[in-house]
Amino acid sequence: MTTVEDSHKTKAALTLPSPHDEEWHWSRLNALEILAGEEHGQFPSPNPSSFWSGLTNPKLLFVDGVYQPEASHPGPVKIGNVSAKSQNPLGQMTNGERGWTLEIEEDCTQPIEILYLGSGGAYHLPSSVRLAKNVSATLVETYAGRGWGNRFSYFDLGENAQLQRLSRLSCESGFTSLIEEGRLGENAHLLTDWIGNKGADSRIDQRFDLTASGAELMSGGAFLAREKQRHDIMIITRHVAEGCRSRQKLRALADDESTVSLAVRTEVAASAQKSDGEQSLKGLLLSRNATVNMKPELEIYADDVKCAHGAAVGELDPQALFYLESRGIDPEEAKDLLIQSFVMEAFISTPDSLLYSTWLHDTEHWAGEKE
Amino acid sequence: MSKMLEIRNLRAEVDNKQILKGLNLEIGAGEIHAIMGPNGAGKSTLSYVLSGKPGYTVTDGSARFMGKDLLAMEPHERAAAGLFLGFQYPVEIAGVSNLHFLRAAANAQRKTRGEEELSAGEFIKIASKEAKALGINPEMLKRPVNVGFSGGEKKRNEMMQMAVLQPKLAILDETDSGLDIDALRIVSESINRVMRRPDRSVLLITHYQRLLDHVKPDFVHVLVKGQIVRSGGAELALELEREGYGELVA
Ligand SMILES: Nc1ncnc2c1ncn2[C@@H]1O[C@H](COP(=O)(O)OP(=O)(O)OP(=O)(O)O)[C@@H](O)[C@H]1O
Ligand SMILES: [Mg+2]
Repeated sequence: MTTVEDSHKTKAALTLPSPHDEEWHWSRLNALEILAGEEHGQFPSPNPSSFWSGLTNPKLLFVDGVYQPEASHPGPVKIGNVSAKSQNPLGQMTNGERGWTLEIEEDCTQPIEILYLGSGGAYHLPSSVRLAKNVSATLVETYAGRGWGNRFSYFDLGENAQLQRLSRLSCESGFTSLIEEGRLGENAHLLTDWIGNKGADSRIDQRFDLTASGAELMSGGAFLAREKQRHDIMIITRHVAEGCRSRQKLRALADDESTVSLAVRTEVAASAQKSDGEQSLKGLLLSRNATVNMKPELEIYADDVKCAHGAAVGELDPQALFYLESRGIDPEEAKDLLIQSFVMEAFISTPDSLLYSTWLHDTEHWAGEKE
Repeated sequence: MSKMLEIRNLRAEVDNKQILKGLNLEIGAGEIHAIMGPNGAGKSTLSYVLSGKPGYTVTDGSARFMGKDLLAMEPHERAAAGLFLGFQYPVEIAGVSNLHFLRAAANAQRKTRGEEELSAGEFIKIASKEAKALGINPEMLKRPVNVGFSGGEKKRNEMMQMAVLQPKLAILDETDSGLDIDALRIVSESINRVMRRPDRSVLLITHYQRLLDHVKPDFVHVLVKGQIVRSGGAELALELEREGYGELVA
């Protein structure tokens, strides 16, 4: 395990993984060096109220990685050191930094909202969620503003615990990196949705070993990219125990000269009988110069498993567009309707009101902004 | 009688292949016309050209709809002006619910015409009433447009859209094919109920007399190789049923 000193050294030298070092690679991370060299506060950070729900529930605000107690109602969330550490090169940079911890023994009935605003420069922020046996919780995390937000999330779900989480990549510019790891107990469920509907580049690394039987990991994501934007998503799930389930449902929408890359690998060890894995990757190209890369991989060593994968990249269906237009819907609205339906497919959490309505809002926001 | 549709010497091609070869047709307000003709004659092509499907190029001739130049309008403008195409093969649209789609369509048309939009509540009332009249399970309103619908369900769904949108001119391309005997009667009733009015007209494209038993046409035309080669009254369809296209296709 990396020590705090090591991690600081790493950060000072900013040894970012290059496409060369990585087994899977599309984007270069050079831009991060520039962002890391910038000062905070070069840009006004956006108004938090436009990102909060209207609920009276726990809400936490971080500005450039620093907790803002006067603007927060932390509820059960604690601020401070996070014991979980990451081995991931980007995740390591958060080791030893102050972050937040959610440890609960009883259901948290209200969703917890966490908002990270950036004003330029970089921040590295770890978090840890530990749910006791049978406990369920809901989390909405929103990234807004500018700069580089580097987040490490550790999840530790007890037996039969359930966490639903939505991550909103809503930064205007800059870079958002999310490193997600953890441990799922027997029959625990982790449902995680990501939506990227704004201008920042992003990179998501999710890596879980399913080591307790019956654990379920559901990952859904919609990534909407424009101009020269890039989203890189890599998910590695290893089924180790029996009877685990994993789903990856990712939708990439690329316009202009943007690139979205999706790499999903599911490994099923010989011990992981009765595994159920499904990868569904779809890309929609809205311009001739846009790119969607996909790499779905299944590696199966057990014999009694149910695993499927599908990957397809296409354009908007002209037949469907004409059908909508022939009913009086104008071409822009017809396009928006098809885009929205495409993006909606990736929503994976149970239609919990806040997660779903937030997701819906963000997809509409993108479509409506597209003019 | 004022003209609903006036087509003069219409020539059109797809992929550089000439399909319509100088077609003439006039439909008056309040009239029901049927077009029959062998497979590949250009019937669906005519319906697509009139509704503005991309890929169909008009090389000559004109089409006027209630006095306006139809061919100069965008597909959605034609719909807002009152044109409706019942598709021979209705398109499946995953992820968009039937109800959402229909309401978007109805409100888009209203907006283009400068009318007030319908609220969700008002709309559901209208849609449920029309669904019931067509024997459509209300659950189907929630399902994605045409996805997993049977052939007959898709055709009923087209009729439901027509009933909600209340067009001036409906071009119904083989709406009768794929329907069972009861569905044919129900669909025919809805065509008569919605469209048989002095200010509305229908162009039925069909291969079979049985639809015309229920929806009695004022005129019947035979389309062969991109042209109307013969026109007559309702009796022409009976004659074709008896004798086939015979010399007409020669
Ligand atoms: N994209 C295309 N490229 C080339 N030929 C086409 C294309 N679309 C249609 N056609 C041809 O145009 C002709 C007319 O087709 P259309 O669908 O209009 O016939 P139809 O009269 O509706 O026939 P049916 O009774 O079988 O429905 C056919 O020969 C068809 O193969
Ligand atoms: Mg046809």
